Amino acid sequence: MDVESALKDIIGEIMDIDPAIIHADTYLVRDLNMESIDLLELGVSINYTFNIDVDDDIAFLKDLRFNLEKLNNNSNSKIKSLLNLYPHLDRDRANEILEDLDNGPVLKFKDVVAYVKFIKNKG
Amino acid sequence: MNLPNKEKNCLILGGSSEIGIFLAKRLLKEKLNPIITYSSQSGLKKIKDNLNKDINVFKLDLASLNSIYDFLSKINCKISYLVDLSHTHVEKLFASLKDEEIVSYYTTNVINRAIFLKNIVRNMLIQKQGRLVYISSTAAYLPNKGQGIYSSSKLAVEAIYKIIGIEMYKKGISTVILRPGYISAGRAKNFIDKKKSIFPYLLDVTDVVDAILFFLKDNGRVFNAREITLDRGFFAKKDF
Repeated sequence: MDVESALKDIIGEIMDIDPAIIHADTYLVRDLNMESIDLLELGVSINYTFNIDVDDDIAFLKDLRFNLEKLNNNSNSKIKSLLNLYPHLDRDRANEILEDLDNGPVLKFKDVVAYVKFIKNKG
Repeated sequence: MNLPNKEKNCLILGGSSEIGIFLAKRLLKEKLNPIITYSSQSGLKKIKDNLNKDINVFKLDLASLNSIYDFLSKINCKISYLVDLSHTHVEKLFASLKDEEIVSYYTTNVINRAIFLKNIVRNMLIQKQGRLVYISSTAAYLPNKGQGIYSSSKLAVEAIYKIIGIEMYKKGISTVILRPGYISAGRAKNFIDKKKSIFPYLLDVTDVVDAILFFLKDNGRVFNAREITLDRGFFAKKDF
């Protein structure tokens, strides 16, 4: 099963939108207006579709800001901690997230894709 | 009867009670598929003695997380309705309860039930539909002496059902909490039989099951995340 297309279909159904408008850099909250209840549904649907356990806090970067606040200001250590907390992200994405924090919720479609692929490979 | 959900499975938690068995019979008449849980061998026997042998019956003991996980792994179907009749009873003055009784009571009736309900709601979320009816008690807000642990846990569970209805309504899942007053059945029967003043206000099993079926139906769904008292107005009087 193609993870990207399956996830686009799921999100399309949840948000009642055309899956074709979703791309890797689509922000789920900022662009698609997904709310916490929609993310809960997304987590449950991922669990059901891919038969994997989903940790919503990690998959949807829920405690990201809270976790970052606990760290000191050194950006290298922040990236290291981010990669520890969210092992499905790569260094480039972690950098991107840190630079994007002031603009609003950072979760992108590609983060969820990365999470699903990471858990599938791990299993 | 206009039951809205396409899937026809109705889980009855604590289905070996008089109300549970009668409800299962009525659901069968409505062409729904009752799935009944029991927690003891005597409960299983009651179900088998009173209902068709082909009925879906599962062991579920809320005292045990393993039993909950075992049940969830076995129940390989979509649940559209849940009627929750299950609640263990302890009637003791609060200060006379043993510490371990308090821990075990709240674990069974509140904590483990919350874990169970979370999983059932996730099951319903896949279908974007679900209706949950919790049978509470008037004791939840008007406890008698000795009902401290019972009434407080009922209130806690009511709050769980309420928040499910509030959070999930947008996704097609709703809840209602029914608080029956005195019912001429089960554990209260002996007490009630001695209190003649209650007689005009007594509920029987049919009254409660009729109310449950009403609240499962389409037109019952305007009641979401709300508590409804079923007592013929008995507790609304000044001098009850």
